[in-house]
Formats: sequence, structure tokens, C-alpha cells
Amino acid sequence: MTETARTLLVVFRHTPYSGSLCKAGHDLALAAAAFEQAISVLLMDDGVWQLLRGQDGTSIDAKTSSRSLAAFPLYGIDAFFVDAQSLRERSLSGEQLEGNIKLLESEQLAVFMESFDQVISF
Amino acid sequence: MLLHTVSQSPHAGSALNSCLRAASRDSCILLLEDAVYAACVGSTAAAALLASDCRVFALQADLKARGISSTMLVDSISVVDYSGFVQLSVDCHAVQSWY
Repeated sequence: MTETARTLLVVFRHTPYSGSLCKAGHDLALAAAAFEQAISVLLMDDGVWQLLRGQDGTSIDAKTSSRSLAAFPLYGIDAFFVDAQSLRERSLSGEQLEGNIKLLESEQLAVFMESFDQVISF
Repeated sequence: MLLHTVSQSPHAGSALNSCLRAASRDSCILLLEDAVYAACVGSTAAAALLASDCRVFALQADLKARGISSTMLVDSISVVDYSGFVQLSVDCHAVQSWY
């Protein structure tokens, strides 16, 4: 990372298999990471389903979203920030998600989001 | 007997709630696409489905794609494949889609 690198937060709030939003977001994050930008990823609301273990998009002729996210560490995106409240609302636990996740509580969310130079949402 | 198909995530909009308001005890509800998330144990949506007394089904291909395993599924929700979907459409006199 250079001194001029700006920090970017990519927020995912939608389910993995409805429409192209999820894939567009993954592409943007990976493209930005390829240009050595400092990227962080936050999954909240229905976006948390993107990391659920055991997905297999082939049954509906789609790319498996969790597999695409699994490539993120290769691009220097080491952790996924996950909104704990969104997990609770869906009766999910962190153990049901793939990858290295860091849970954020509601009271941490605002400060976390404010800490980035740029934010883009999918 | 009416078949209600729901395809929107229970967290993304009012499709499931409207379906539940409009469905009678005789109705069948089939969860498709993002609506299969409503079939997960412990969710508010699953509780509402159970309380409806309707027969509830979920499409296997959509569950599988999203990683919703049988252990995550509410027991009383029946899993159907595409031929089951066709059979339900035939057994019911009409289909209402909530999307």
C-alpha cells in the first residue's frame, strides 16, 4: 500500500442469487484490490447469506457466491466484517459462515463506516 | 385450493407477509428463490409460516444453491423438486405469485 492509497469499504446488503448485484460487487472489490487499494468488506442485512457455508449455485445455473468470496484473501482482503445484528435476525451464527469473519455490533457500526475514505454499496 | 408462490427474501419486502394475509388454511405456499430463506429454523418468517396452518413447501434447487441444509430447515416444510412444483401447480386450481 502506498501513502496515497485511500481506504474503501464495500458494503453488501443483498442476497447472493437474485440479480447481478452480488457479482458486480465482488468484481468491483477484486478490481479495486488488484490496483492495491485498501479494501474492506462489510456484509449486513441479506448480504450475510453470501457467506453461508455449503452453497452450490450449480443447482440453479449460477456461480457459487461463497466461492467467489473465498478468493478475496488472495487479493489482500483478509477478513469479512459482518453485522452481528443481521445474523441474529436470521438465527445465524458466525460458525455457519465461511472465511475469516469479524463481527461488528450495532454500536460499532457507525464509527467503523466513518473510518473509510470511500464507501460503495451493493 | 390455491397455490401461493413466494420468491422474495422475507427481509427484503412484504411479499411473504402479504401472502400470509391472503392465504387460507386450504392454500399451499411454495417458497422459491430468495423466499427459501424463510424456511430456516428460528427465523420470524418461519414462525409466521408455521402459524398460518398452510401446507408449506420449498424448492430443493433454491435451497441447495443457497446452502440451506436439511438441519437448518423447519421440519414441517416439505422439500419439492421441479416435478413436485409441477404437481403442485396441477393439484391447485390456480396460482398466485408473490414476488
